[in-house]
Amino acid sequence: MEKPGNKVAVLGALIIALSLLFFSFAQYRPNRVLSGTNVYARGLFGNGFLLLLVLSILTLVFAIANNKQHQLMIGFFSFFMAGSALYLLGTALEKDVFNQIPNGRVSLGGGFYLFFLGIYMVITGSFKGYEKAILQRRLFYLAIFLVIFIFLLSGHLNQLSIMKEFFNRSSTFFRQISRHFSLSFFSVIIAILAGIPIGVLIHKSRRRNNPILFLVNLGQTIPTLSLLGLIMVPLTFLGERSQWLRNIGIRGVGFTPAFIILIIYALFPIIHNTMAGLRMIDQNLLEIASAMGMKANQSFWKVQLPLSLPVILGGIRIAMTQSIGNTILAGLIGGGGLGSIIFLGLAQASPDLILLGVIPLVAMAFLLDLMVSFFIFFYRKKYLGMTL
Amino acid sequence: MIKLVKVTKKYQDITALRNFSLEIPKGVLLVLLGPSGCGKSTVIKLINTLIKPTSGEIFVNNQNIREMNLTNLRRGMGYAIQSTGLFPHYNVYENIAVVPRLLKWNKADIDHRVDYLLDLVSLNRNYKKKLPSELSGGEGQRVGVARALAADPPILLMDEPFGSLDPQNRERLQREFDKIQKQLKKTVLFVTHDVEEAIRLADKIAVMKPGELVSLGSPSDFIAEDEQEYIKDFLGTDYALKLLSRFIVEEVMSQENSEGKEPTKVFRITKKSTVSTALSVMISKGVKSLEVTNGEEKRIGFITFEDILMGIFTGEKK
Repeated sequence: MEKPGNKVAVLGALIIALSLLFFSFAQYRPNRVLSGTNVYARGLFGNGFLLLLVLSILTLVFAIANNKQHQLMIGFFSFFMAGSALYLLGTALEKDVFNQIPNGRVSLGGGFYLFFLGIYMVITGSFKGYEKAILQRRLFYLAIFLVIFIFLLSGHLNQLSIMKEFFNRSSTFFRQISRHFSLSFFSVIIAILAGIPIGVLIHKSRRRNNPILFLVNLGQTIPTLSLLGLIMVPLTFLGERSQWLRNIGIRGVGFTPAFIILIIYALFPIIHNTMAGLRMIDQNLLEIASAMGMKANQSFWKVQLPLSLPVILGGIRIAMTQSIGNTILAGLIGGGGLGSIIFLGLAQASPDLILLGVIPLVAMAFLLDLMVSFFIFFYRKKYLGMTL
Repeated sequence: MIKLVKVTKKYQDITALRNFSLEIPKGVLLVLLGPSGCGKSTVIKLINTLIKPTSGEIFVNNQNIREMNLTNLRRGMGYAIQSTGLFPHYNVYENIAVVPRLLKWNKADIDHRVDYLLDLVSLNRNYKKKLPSELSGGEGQRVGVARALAADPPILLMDEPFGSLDPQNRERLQREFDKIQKQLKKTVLFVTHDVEEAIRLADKIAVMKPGELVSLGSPSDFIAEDEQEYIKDFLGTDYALKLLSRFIVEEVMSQENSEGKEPTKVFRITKKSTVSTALSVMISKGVKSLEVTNGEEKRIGFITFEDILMGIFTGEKK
């Protein structure tokens, strides 16, 4: 019998095993910019390599069997593989081979990223279908995230090139992370505060071609970068006219234009999902509500909003993830954020610097997404008695 | 209590209701019976003002509803529909408490009321915390009925409330609702297309054909219906047999065995069985009379075919 999740998990386990065998886990370079030599898992991890290989094959076997009883086992194997790979990596970095030349750099290779992609796929594929499994899946994600985080904090991986880049600019790094977070987070908050009422109003007006909707859709079809250019013009104009406006940040470059564009982009999924959520409500329930003597506003707050909330939250979730990605562009116009680090890395042709910008970005998107989906999960379970 | 006078309702060029007049006296359960799409639900929605009549007047308690406060009017009428219409995000307690909360009852009163109603519709009190998705169809409908009764409204509007249930459950709920109605004596407008349901519950049946009322009477009145083909067709040729399920043995039995001689073989039936069950037993056992017991093996009378005929034609129950 074909069971859900089977293929993804098997493919994931296969990727883990293949990455261990055939892909470079790390690159050793004599200095920051020279190209380096590939180091494979076998060379890097020593005896630990065998352990990982055996675990990955066991995972593969369990994934093929796809037996519910082995689900947790697969989860723990994946967790253990992630943890031990990080531990072995750190230990290997202490070895003399990598520390002969003072400016030598070790960066992570494609195999390493593939390895973690495989782990992600195994967990995603194995825990599927029913409520408890989905909760477990999210807990495993979280656990692996914590392990990575702890290893980073512990200093065990400090010999990595990317960590050296980090220490070179740690103060900028943290400033840019928090700038990035506030740009994307607060733009979404404002989009929520504006988008939900707009969505409700459009829904109530019942007009197909609502002008607001038209504008928002238009904003969505213009590529982010062009919109950035478009909005710089009026803002520059305004900023040049008034000293006061310039003082509060209305200028062609910097925080404000980036912030405005992020809000526009975040509006789209929120407005749309608000409308969709309201549209999806069973008309009988609304009729019942008014037949029982609820006034329009009571029906809205007691029935329509709670019932459409899961869909609206879905929109917020999309807006949040998108916004974190879009915020990269703020780096282009002096708005700050992790985009500045990434574009600096591109300019300097330094992959580690790019990764230093990208990895926290991915982590941030992932964690926020996990947070919102946890929230949706519990809301649906508690108030609607359903989870999927 | 409820009176519709020459009500017409048009949707664009379709006339859903034409010159429709109907009166439901206080304490009477009137079943509006008719095929799907004949405008039955339109009548209910006109009464609780979900839709407005194109012409004609509607009175509730001798007051024209055009002149009444809609919200108060609606809160005074319990409303139950097919497939429960329960709010999925409210648990059983909250669903029942909707109207009392709108009327700003205090918490203790609502608690009492919910307990009372759960008992009334035979649901366990520990169902209060359950969500509608955790209830079976029958349980959901019970909550639906309890919710309609929540603020003790004098009027109940019921739009095929048991329509989505399987036959066994439907019959159980009908019987229970019948009992509740006998106890509470609400003024009820009950809409259905199910003839047996109408027979079981109705004090009065109003038969509709698309857009208009064709006949009004007690369930027994329709046995002799000969004139109107439409009614005969709709009620079915076995209407008389269906009608038997409306009566219980106790209502038609007699003290003496009207068959005269004591039968050679004696079969018994309890006084609470329906007359249709009694007839069925008589046919299957091949006898013309049965002994009626009070449920504890004590004979309290007899039932014969003669009694059944007499009972149905002369004694509309009560």
